[in-house]
Amino acid sequence: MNPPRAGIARSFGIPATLIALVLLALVITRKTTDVHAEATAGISMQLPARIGEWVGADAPVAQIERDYLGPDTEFARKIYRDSKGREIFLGLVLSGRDRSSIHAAEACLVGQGWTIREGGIFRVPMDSPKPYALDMMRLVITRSARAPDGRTVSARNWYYYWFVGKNRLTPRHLNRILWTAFDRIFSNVHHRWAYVALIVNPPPGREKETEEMVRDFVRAAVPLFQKTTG
Amino acid sequence: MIRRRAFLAVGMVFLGAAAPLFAAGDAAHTKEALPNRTVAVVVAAAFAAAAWRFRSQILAFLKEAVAIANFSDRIRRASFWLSLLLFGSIALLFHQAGNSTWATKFGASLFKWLWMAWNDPIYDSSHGPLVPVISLGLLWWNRKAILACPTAPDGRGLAVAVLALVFHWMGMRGQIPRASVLALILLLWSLVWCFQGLPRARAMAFPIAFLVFIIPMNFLETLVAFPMRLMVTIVSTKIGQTLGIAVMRDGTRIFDPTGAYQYDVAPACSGIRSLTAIVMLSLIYGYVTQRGAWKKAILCLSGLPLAVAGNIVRITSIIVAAQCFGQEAGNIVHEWFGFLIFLVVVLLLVGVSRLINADYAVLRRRWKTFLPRDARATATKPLSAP
Repeated sequence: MNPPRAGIARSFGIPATLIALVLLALVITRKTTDVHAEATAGISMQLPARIGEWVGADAPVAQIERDYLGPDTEFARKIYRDSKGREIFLGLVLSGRDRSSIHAAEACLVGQGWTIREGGIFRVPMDSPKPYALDMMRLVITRSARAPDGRTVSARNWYYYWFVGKNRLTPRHLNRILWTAFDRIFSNVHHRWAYVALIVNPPPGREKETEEMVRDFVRAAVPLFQKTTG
Repeated sequence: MIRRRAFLAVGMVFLGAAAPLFAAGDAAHTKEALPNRTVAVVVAAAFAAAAWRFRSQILAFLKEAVAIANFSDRIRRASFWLSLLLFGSIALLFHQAGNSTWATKFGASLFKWLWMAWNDPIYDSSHGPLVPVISLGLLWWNRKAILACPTAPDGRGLAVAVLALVFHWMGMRGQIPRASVLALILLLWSLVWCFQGLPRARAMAFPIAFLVFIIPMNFLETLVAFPMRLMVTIVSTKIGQTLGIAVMRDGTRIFDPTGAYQYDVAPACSGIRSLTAIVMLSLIYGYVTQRGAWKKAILCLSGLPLAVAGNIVRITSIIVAAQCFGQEAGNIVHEWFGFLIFLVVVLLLVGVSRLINADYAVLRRRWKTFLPRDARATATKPLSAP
């Protein structure tokens, strides 16, 4: 049985149109995927040597991290100590042209053997350079390891992080990805987002005191390297 | 007959969905678990055996599908080459311009990105390769309804194809490969609409939409799975305390104050992987056992609360076992009764299914016959103002 003329037209016309559309999409996608890369970031990658009474010492970046995250990813890390012997780790990662040069902290921490016990937003009211609220994600993380003498040693840290865009701040990884996509699609620009991480080891029973210490440290340190205020 | 088939289909799909979950879940603890690829091969072999068993029906199905075109040989041959060209160009698009993130690792291929994601524990999506097999199984299960639909090429499907291509472009430009995977699924569905018409596209919508589970869902870990895990820990601890057990909680860690036992409600057991498997299970169960869109929707939506309920039962049973017989007993429940959560979920699914399918008029009549004579009179008497 011969199909009617309209049937033949549809049988050939539809796949031919689809092929044309797919090939057109291939050309357009290849030509327009690259967007303008914004050179300026929302942070400075120079961490201060001193923040009030806290004195910083450089912390190393593992080669595996450099290899994993792409050649245009930048790092800055210091461990700050005060006269009472307390320590705060402060680390910055500035993404390159690829949004994946910053990963979800939760995935990396679990990959490194940490267990996330709790998580939530920790808000610090900032007063410099102008009043604003800095929202950070706070994770309570623990890890157990076997010491050389056979004992099991446990560590319990508070891990704070947030993301800094050129004009935006967010404590959530998903928001950063969506903002990156939004800017790339509709503004034709790729902003270099930065990831700020801060780690403290709260002594048992002194959680309130540690929380206050973190608040004071953030209020003093963040204006020294972060330009974006939300 | 239909019930038996539905039961068999659910059983097969359940095994298919649960196997990689157990394998991957164990990997987090022992790192010596069965590799996911082996599980995929075993499941593929099971499906191949099933295909051999039903070979005559499959051949008849294919013959019927080919006969639908009802064209002369020449036209059919030309259509075949045109279709091949179309699928080739789609493969080219998603292979050559399918992924724009982490190009140093994945290149430009969306297929490579998917494959790497399925095999990378960070993405928590080792079930990915099984999803297309399950989708094919669902198409096969619903083949009579699909083949019964009238077919005719429909140009309106081109609009959906354009939408899918635009979506892919956005995913590429926005460095979101998951959006491109969604676009690929939408494009596949639009092809059915274009070549076979809307009724058949509708009939095939669920099995094609089910392909969404090939997308790594690890981005939901902090958004959904972690709060859920915390809630499960809190509720299980409360239940333990109500039962008189002095169990305590620190975040997602459950422990005995005397140090007799402690457990961590870890992502490997109660994270996004387990949640995905349960949601998949409830979707499949709803699709194969229910008639009517709202019943299917209720069963599908019940996946999340049922996952919570299953997890609570599992964690509480670990607490009770540890309290009665010590840490080792809790470990045994934890290691060997991981299927408990699935058992609870399946039982609850059956319960929900019975609830939404019950004939409440009959139930009311039966209830009245059980009541004593006086109570029956009161039950039938209309309410009046005092």
